[in-house]
Amino acid sequence: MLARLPWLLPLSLGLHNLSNRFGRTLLTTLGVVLGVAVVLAVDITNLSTLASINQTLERAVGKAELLVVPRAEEETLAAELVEWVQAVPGVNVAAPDVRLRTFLANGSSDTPARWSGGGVQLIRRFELHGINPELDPLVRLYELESGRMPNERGYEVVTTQKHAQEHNLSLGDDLLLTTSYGVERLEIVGLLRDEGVAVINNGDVGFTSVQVAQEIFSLGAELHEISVQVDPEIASQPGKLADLKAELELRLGEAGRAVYPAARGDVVPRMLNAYQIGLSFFSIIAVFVGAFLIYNTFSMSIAERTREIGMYRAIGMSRLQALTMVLLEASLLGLIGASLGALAGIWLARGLLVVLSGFLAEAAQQILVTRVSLLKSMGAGIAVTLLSALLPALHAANISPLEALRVQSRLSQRVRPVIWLAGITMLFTGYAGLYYIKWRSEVRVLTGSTSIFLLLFGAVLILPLLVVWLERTSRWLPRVVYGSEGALGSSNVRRSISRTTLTIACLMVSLVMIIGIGTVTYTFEADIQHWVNSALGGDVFVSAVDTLPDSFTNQLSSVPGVAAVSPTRYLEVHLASASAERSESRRDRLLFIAIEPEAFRRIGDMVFTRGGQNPQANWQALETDRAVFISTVVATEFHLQTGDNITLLTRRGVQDFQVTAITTDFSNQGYVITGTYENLRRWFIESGVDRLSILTTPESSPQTVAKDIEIRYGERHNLDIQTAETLKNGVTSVMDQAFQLFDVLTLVGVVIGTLGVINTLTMNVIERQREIGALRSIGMTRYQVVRMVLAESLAMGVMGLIYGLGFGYLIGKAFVFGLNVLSSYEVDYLFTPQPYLVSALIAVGVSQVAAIAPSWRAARLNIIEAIQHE
Amino acid sequence: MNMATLEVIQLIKQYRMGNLSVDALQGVDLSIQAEEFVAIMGPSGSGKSTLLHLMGGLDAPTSGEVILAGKPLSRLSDNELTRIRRLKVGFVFQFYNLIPTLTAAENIALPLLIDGAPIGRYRERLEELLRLVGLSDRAQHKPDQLSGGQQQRVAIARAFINQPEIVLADEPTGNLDTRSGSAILELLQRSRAELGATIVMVTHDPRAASYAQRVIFLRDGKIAKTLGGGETSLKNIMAVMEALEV
Repeated sequence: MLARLPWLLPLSLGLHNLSNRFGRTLLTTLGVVLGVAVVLAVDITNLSTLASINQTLERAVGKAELLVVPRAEEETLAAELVEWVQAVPGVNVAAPDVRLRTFLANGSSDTPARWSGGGVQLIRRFELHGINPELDPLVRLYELESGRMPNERGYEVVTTQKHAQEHNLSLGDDLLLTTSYGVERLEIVGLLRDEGVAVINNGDVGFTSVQVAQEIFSLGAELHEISVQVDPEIASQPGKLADLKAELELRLGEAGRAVYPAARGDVVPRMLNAYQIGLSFFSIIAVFVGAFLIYNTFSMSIAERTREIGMYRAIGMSRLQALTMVLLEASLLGLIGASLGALAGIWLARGLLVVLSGFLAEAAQQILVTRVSLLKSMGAGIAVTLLSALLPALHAANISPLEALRVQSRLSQRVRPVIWLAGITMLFTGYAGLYYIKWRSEVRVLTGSTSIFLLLFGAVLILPLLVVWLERTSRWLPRVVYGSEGALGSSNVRRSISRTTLTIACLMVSLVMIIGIGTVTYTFEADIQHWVNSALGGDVFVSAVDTLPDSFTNQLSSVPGVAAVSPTRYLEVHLASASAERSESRRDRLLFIAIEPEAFRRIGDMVFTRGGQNPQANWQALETDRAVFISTVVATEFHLQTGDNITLLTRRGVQDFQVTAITTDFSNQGYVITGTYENLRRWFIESGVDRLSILTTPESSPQTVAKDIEIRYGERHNLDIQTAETLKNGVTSVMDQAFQLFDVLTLVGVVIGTLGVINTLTMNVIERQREIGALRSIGMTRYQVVRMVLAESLAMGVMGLIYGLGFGYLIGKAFVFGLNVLSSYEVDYLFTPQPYLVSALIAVGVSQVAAIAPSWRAARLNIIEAIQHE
Repeated sequence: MNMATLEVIQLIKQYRMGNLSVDALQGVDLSIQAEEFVAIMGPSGSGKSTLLHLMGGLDAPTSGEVILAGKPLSRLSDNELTRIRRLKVGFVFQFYNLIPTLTAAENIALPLLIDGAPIGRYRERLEELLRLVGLSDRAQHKPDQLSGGQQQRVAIARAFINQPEIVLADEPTGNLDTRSGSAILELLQRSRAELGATIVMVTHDPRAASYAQRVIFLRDGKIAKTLGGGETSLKNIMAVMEALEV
């Protein structure tokens, strides 16, 4: 039978080995599971978030193929346009929409601020849509859980079940909305399921009739948007749809413009950009770490069996059969590990998405597991397992049976020049790829990740050269902690350079993840904090639902305890086509923030960067006509520097504005330009106040002043008033929440380090049974054996720590540099000792916790069996 | 008459191998006097290694007793047994079992290191032992820089560092060529004479056994014959072996 099926023998021996060495099989499988899980989880998280955003937009816009929107964000559409649009051949339905953001008078959210993927959203508002209750369900999805749609003339509203639950509202209750003229009551007549339109604004949304919305917000007969559903025949043919869009544009003229619904979706994915990049980076590290762990466990498993394979060879097994046996085992383990890893990856992604949903305005609705993601991660897991098995299996199959039988199973002690030369080359290539080569923007994520990958791989390959030095540097600690057993234990790490290298590399990668993530987090947090403290200077902040007149600034100045008031006006402006074409993102809308420079500087300051570190000169320059500050993001995206012009569409036509300084600004995802009120009035024919920063006098408390303003103007003007403390605490807390995502990945790093150490120590104990038996027979107690193994582990922990700290520092800097290049933000690298201290604790902790089981195993060895062990 | 360093009383050891019970030792009585050199011979499976392990407190008997330096080993805890092994017993193994990362001198001093004793205080003894085993010039060599014979000499010096009551050697020449083996046996003999040690050696080799003052032949877990009082010549040993079909 066996002769007829020659592959059955290796298969049966392979299966026998897997079941006989159950502990090792489990450890190896765990390596594959973890590697596959991390890769898949990061992939799923990325895809699900993006898909969710697209889905949200699709559901919100529904079956509409086109949208009619105003020419500028500040403008509106005339109500008659609905009929005009409806009359255009090919248009089936034209549904009007009035969209307003306001505060709720019956209880606001506990979260004043929200982190939104690289930008800070300071206030959580309720979004009210005025719709045609009959037409809108034809273009958007309304899933009523209970109740009905509002009547056309009734003061009625449909809101989401989620929102109602959060605010203890039910059918028949009134929703109290703050408007410019006081509080308006709308009766809740329907509750929506968390689907379709209910996902807009993360559920903080309501729908009433157009007429009611226009009445309560005094909009007259104005609209914000018209959703257009076209003939199915046109909808299915992109060319015909484009023709219809052009036709609509033509007919609309200055009255509005027709856009594809996806245009609205540009903003949210952009908000996620920084996170996507961060996750992609860690996804690359995850592949590396997963591959590494699999290789580590598998190579040791094979090394352990060199002798056994030698025996098989001695009794007639061919090289091919030996190789087949190992590869069949690897395939089986790879398949089992990859399947379990896929399940674990989905589970891990669920956790990551829960963390993400905490700070994204549009939470992921479902986990998206694509076939490609599954195949990619599982394929990577199986391929790495096979490759990891192939190298040691080739080695085992190629050594002579006699040699294999004679030697103790041990990895090669020789450090081949080709390996460390390759390592040095990779280090240089990775470094150059990251810092010196200018890549095209579309390949930057790939090249940046590859460079990091090369740096990590290079660091691992040159490690054997440094092991002896590292051992010498770190040997004092195990000796101090564990005495004479410490001396014995620490000297053991030099016995197998290859194995020690793998363990230290495992720890190093784990620490690099901790330090890299810690550095990026700290740098971002510090920069945002710096910006918050500078740009959001002042003690009290006042936001208005509707733009208030300029005179309101003077009114506030007269409130007792107010020392200074700085008004701000936000206006969305459009880039003229020349500037927009220079942009790689084709984004054409920016936020123009108008300030009174003198008042602004009395309260806060800008964070200047890129050579503009002379604030006095910058502020002076801003006072000139058509001068603006631009954010680093705008500067990078539009290739602008100080002295260049940025071309904007104004009410007085296309105008060039000179860039007089570049600032760090995290509001509106960084798409911000700052100018004076004078320019706002002259070129955009706008005035008014959206937000005011207030500096209180030294003798008055911000809380008292805030309360006073609330009493005097709060209700009349529907203001949202917050002290600086509340606002900054809000920003800090949402930032902490945002970076929790990376904490999960750090934890994965720790698990990987732990598994690496357990693996090595278990192997060391198995391999040195006779020696441990001899030590026990000449008088070493079980306790001393435990201490010796713990010391050996501590020595490896300290070596990994030294290497990890050094390399973590470099990788931390590389991460910050990479994120700057990829996200267009300009954050300065900042050193913080915290991740280094955490790493030190983790390295020592991991080394000791991981050593518990192997040391216990060593201590429990039967002396006689151990000394007879070969 | 010298006092007994080690006494073995009605020692029985049974092993279980699956469902089978194997009698390794079946009531062995033995007394080893101080400064005596005893060889234990017997065919494979006769129980000689089991007897050695029980004498050294590495294993526990099924019944019977081993009294070493006046202490019945069966009544001692694991830690007490470990301490006995560390201070009262020296072991020499067939495969030397040296620590590859330590030098020859450090390997010799290993029991002191394990005991937490200050090595400096034992420097003279260490040098004396290095001189005795002829490795003064190899003190700083690691095991992989020494020949098999030299490694076994390091192991012998290690066995004597704590001035033990008894040295137990399990096939000390089993892994060496004839010349190196003879040198090791001469060294054991010289050590006994110079250091006043008691040695029990398990061996297959009649030539090795001929260095002992007494030779005990085991067969099927029992003492089959004892040669002593000048009867331990190679010729006599060979004759007993032939008679017992060892």
